[in-house]
Amino acid sequence: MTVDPLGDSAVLVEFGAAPEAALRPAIVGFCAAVQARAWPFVHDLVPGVQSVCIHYDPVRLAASGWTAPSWCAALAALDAAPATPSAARLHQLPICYEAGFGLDLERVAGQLGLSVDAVIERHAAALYQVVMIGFAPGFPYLAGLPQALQVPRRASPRSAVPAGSVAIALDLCGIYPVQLPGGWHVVGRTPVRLFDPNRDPPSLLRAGDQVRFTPVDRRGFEALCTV
Amino acid sequence: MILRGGQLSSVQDAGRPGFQALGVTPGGALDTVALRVGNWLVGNAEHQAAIEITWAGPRIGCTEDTLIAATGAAAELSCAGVPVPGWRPVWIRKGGVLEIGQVTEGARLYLCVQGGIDTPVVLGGLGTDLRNRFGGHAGRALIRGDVLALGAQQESYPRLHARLTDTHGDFAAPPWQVSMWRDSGVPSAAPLRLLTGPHQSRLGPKDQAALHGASFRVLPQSDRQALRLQGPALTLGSCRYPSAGVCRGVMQLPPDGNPILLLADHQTTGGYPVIGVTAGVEGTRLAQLRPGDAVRFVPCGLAQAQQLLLERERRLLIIKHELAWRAAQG
Repeated sequence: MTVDPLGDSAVLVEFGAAPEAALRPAIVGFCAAVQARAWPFVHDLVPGVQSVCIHYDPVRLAASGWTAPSWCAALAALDAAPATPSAARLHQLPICYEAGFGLDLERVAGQLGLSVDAVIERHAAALYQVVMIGFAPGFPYLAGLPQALQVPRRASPRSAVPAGSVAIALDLCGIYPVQLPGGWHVVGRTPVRLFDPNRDPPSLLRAGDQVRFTPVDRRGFEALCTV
Repeated sequence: MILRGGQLSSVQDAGRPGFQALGVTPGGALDTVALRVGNWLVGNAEHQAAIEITWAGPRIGCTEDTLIAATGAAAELSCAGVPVPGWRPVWIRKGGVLEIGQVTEGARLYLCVQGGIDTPVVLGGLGTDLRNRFGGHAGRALIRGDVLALGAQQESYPRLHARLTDTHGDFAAPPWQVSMWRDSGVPSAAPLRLLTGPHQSRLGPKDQAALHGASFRVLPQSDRQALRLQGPALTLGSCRYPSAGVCRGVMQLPPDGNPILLLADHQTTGGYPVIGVTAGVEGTRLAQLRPGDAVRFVPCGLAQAQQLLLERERRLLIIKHELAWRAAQG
């Protein structure tokens, strides 16, 4: 673990390039340890793929008697126990893979040399973990995509990916909370609303959560649709 | 009441920190100093919501007697054909129409109103998240016909108020002003202070020298999310950077070699290499850059950057007290 300043009001804590599964408990545990300190000058704690970005107010940091180097040293020395994913934060998200929803299914299947059904089966069988929320409000980066489904990003991004689209690229799966431009391959769509600024909490998912996809047909999708 | 929206006018406050882990941009006024001083001028708490006006201004009708202050960029500001001075409290009579023309110097003007613009609190902020279309006034830029509610108006400066309201004109202003932007002690042509970024060392020696010597031009694609810069094309050896949190001032280097300098509406995470981070005190100057402007960068250490922030805070505090004293004198 390395602790380095990112400008004068943030610190980037990097956990090295260990395999994803090994990194997650350390990152979640580190965030919990920082939160437990309740430093009044820290206002945001943002998990990344292999890192945590801590945003702070340098004026309040100084008022609390710290200097940036002394506080970075305290962060590096933080005794954080790895956290195991909690079963309480396992989300079962309905997904519809049918035509009109899984916009890139056939193309992805062709690229992978698999049948469409085989892609769906593998995608729905996996257990995913939320690595981070980024790109857009409530957009989860999900680790756990089976190796057999890993493809590069689309050659040209779509200017509008429909809200709820579940998409894959490289070793990740993501879900578009609202209509956004995007370059990932859309394999299905969930009817669940992932982000609502007027809801508490606004984002259904947070880093460290687990996700499993439950296939539904078109009628099931429409019945559940809250997007 | 908005009679003309202008190029891009939106309700902004100090932003909505605390939700970046959920992908929510902190947002808020780009020129935080102008917002704070403007609010002090009308007797508000420093982070109340105001109208951030970009490039060309709106026309705003006042539906009740009110105290306003225009801070930030210099602009053609008038009421009934008479120029209205900036950086001071201005009392406007009910029915008065504020005409805000072209911004003549800088890019963003702040119109603070006594009581503040009263919009619903969304995720801890009153400001507009323009990209994600929530917060502020209907989650969008202001347009003709919008009616903005004002917060409760406290009688903070009774003597000043009594003097200003004793007029037959449409507005009245005291002879004094504060000019934070000009008084900030940094000539606008000075290079911007840049702290080392995590991937700066991966630039070749020639590119490192270019980063700290060459002139970069602000491109028209710049917005509240980021300044797009163009200078000597910088190249980084292959660098696969897994997405990580970013902040205001972060300078990213995408493969095309043109740096992206993140502003208030930045995405919460980024996957481009980070070659530098501007010092926090530069935020107010970044907010006032306009397309075509040329900028240069000069290295700055972390301790120096934080010292500059603390010094600015002390200067702001002096201005705040001086203002309160002047206003109390009337």
